[in-house]
Amino acid sequence: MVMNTANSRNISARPAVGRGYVKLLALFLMSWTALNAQDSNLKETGNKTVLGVRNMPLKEGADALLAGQYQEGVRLTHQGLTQAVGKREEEAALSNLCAGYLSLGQYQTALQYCEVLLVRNDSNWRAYNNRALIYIKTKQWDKAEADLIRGEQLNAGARTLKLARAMYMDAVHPVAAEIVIDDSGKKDDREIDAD
Amino acid sequence: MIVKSMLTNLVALNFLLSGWFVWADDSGIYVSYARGSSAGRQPVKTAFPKYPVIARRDRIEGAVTVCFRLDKQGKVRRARIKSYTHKIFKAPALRAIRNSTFESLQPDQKITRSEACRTYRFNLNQIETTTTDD
Repeated sequence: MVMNTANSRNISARPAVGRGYVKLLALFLMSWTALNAQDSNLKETGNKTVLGVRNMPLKEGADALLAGQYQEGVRLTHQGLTQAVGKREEEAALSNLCAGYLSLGQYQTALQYCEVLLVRNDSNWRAYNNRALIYIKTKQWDKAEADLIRGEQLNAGARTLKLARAMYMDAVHPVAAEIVIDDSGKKDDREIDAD
Repeated sequence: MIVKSMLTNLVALNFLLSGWFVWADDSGIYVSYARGSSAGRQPVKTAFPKYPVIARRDRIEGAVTVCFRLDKQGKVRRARIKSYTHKIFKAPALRAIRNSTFESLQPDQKITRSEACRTYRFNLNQIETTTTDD
């Protein structure tokens, strides 16, 4: 136990959700794309289905980003974008580029890719999530809030959005946890709502 | 000097008599303890629950009342949840009460209360920020 409440207040002010979550969030996006890449690997050849990777650079780029090799991941994803066939691959590449540049701390470039993605598909909640993260990192709170709301409208239960929301809340409305123990045996008014 | 010392003692005494202790644990969580033992015996070791990370993340507050029996040694037995506002707080409250102990009985004493209850309140207090926009 720490008796110095002044010190502890500083500790409390630290966000519950740390900076490492940006990388974590980016990884979630990458994993989705990696799955997408595998999903699109099904090729119909006559009456046989052959498994294979159609857009290798896109998949390898996602793997590199997942492994934390952001420079290499971004390079491969750019290559994957040039070879992208269809809307899904293009959107996956743009999403990963946004996440990759976000992980590299190049927020302006990341923002450009997120916005290109949103022009193509304005119901891509991952793009809103990524762009909200960029706004959080650049302390543009109103824009971050707007993107979080839009993302939550599109996919309310998404864990990545909850994490982004927590990052926003910790930055804008930080809280200190307090636990009170009451041995008096009196009924707590708030227990009325107990189920 | 003497007056100052007396005043300090008075404040300390008042603080103790009021039955409230406030401090912060290693994780920076404020914890406070309201004296008034419904167990009939004074607490010896008070374990505090951890504020669940997800509850803090999603800004969930609440309270849990746990009821329990005390054996002769002052150990908590048969702890159960009496009421709660959110299920996320049940496990930490149960864990905390099971790790708490109370005064043991003297050889000639008998257990007078069959069951005691303790309420854990999980609160989140807004902190003032000094965040400045770039």
